Amino acid sequence: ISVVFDVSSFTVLPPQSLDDDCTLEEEDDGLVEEEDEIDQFNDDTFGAGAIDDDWQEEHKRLAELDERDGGAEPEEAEPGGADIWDSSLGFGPVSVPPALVTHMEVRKPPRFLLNGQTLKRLTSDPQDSPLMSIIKEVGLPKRPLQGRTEEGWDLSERVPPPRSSSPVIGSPPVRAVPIGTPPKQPMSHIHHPTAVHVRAPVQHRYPPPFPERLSPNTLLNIAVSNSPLCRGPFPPRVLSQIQRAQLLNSQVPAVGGSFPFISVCFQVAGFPRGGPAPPLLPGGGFRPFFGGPPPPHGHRMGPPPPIPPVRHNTTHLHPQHRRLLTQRLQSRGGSAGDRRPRDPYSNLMSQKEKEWVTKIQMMQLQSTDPYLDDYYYQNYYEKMEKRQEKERDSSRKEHATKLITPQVAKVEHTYSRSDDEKREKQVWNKRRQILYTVEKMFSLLLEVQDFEKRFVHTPEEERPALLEQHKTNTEQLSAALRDKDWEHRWGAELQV
Amino acid sequence: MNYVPGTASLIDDIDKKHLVLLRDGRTLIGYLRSIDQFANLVFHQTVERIHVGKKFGDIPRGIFIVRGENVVLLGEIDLDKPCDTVLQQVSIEEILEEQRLQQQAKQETEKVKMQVLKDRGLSVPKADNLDEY
Repeated sequence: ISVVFDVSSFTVLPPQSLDDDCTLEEEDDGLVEEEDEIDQFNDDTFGAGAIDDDWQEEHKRLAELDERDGGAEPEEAEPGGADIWDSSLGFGPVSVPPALVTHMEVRKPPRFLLNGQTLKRLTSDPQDSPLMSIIKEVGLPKRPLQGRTEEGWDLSERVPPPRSSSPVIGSPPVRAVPIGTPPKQPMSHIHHPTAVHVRAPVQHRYPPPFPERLSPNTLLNIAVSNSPLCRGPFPPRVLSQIQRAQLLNSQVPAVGGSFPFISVCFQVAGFPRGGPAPPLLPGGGFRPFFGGPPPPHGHRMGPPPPIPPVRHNTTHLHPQHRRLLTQRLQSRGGSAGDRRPRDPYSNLMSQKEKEWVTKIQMMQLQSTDPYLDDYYYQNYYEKMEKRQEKERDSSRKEHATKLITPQVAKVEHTYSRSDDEKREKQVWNKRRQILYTVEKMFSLLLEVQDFEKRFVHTPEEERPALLEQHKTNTEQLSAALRDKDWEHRWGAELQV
Repeated sequence: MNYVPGTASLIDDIDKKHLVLLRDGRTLIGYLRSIDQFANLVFHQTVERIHVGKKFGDIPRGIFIVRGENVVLLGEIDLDKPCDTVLQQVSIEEILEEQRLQQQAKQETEKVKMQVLKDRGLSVPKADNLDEY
């Protein structure tokens, strides 16, 4: 809730009374018009009697009464007159004692109560009253507001401040005006410099203490913007007794004590959407809310268009996922199995809103590194892929399983190396030696076998040399074969 | 119809009756009407159910908006399933009284415990600021 005031058009009043307006008479002539307007304003706020000269005495009387009784009889304060609710908007959301919230009936508000209380406040606790501090700060709004009652109020004056400026991703699109507010020219409040948005003194949106001092206007403000009922123009209705009682009762903090406001606000709003007009929209002073055309859309959350994001710069949604989505979007027909058609409150959350939330969730699934982000999501799609491959091609399944084994074998092989290395080396050395000996013997044998052929071909001079060599070879061979050590050395190994 | 297969989402829970346990220990039962990306929940026809021993009492609360961070767990209530509970429903006054007694008894034992610990030179800090850890 913002406090908006145009300093140039307000007079700051001293705490004691509201009758400073009269003093303008004594000031410049140019202000004479304003004086009339102010008087008229007084009129509406306090009743027609305020114009009378008697009001000063009345005021004194009241003040004395207050001092005497400590503020007990507000009824007497009433000068009678116009319907204050019609003009109370001029004050803006002013904090009002809880008891007054019960009297939200607009046609005939217990004006005296409000007037008396307010009056009392203004007179009896000049310093402490938050109301007074507001008025001190801001001054009273001017008359021009009054003149527009008949035309219909400009809703921009009632606009709560823009929502927190979180990024678009994090919240429904930031709207300067609450979603339930009918459309109108956006900046028109500037043309009404006397607009006053008075901050209610204890107006927090979060617990702790939700204000007991709820002004009916702020109550409705919030109810209107958050209620699912802000659709279309509703004929103004008066709060019934029951509803008023509900309002009153719900303001008593229940067990735990949190969210008393919520209970207040929405217990009354608990009507079927198609049912009778919500009584939260009484006529009179609150008429302005819905004087205009109905809200353009019935969204409570007002999500942006629900296009599933397809980003190509980062790792997009898993392609399967996107395929599924498009399939689903196309084939969306009947709802899920159990329809429960008798639930009149169903589908309060529209399709667009659901898609909007889903969109945000899906954006969180997108990632550049599949191993870093959302393990379960990635695995789900991997499994799905494998499943589909299996279905398509069963033969390939065996390949897939076989592929695993070589890796396993490799692992085993590398594992045993360190332990048996030395033993194996010894074994291989011996084997090498054996092989070497055997090779040598065979080559000798070959030469012995080839001797006869060669003998024929060599010339006579060289024959004795060849004969000699042959002799040597044969001896070597037989010696090697007959080697007794051989059996001991190689026998065991050869059998291995 | 899961909009986001492979993930968990509350979208499918909308318009169904749920039981939610809040961080402050309250149990709420109501129809989940709306959610947002923070899992803030909007419950309709909400009832706060207080359990003490084998008794329970329901306090009608109307519409509740729960800030997502305060939810411990949330589960759908199967309305078709036959309800074979041993719990006995009592009036609100009675259950509140029972709860008060239970709280009282708990505080007494807590007090005694603290005293015993204190006598032995031990002190257990209060669990007020659990959220900070």
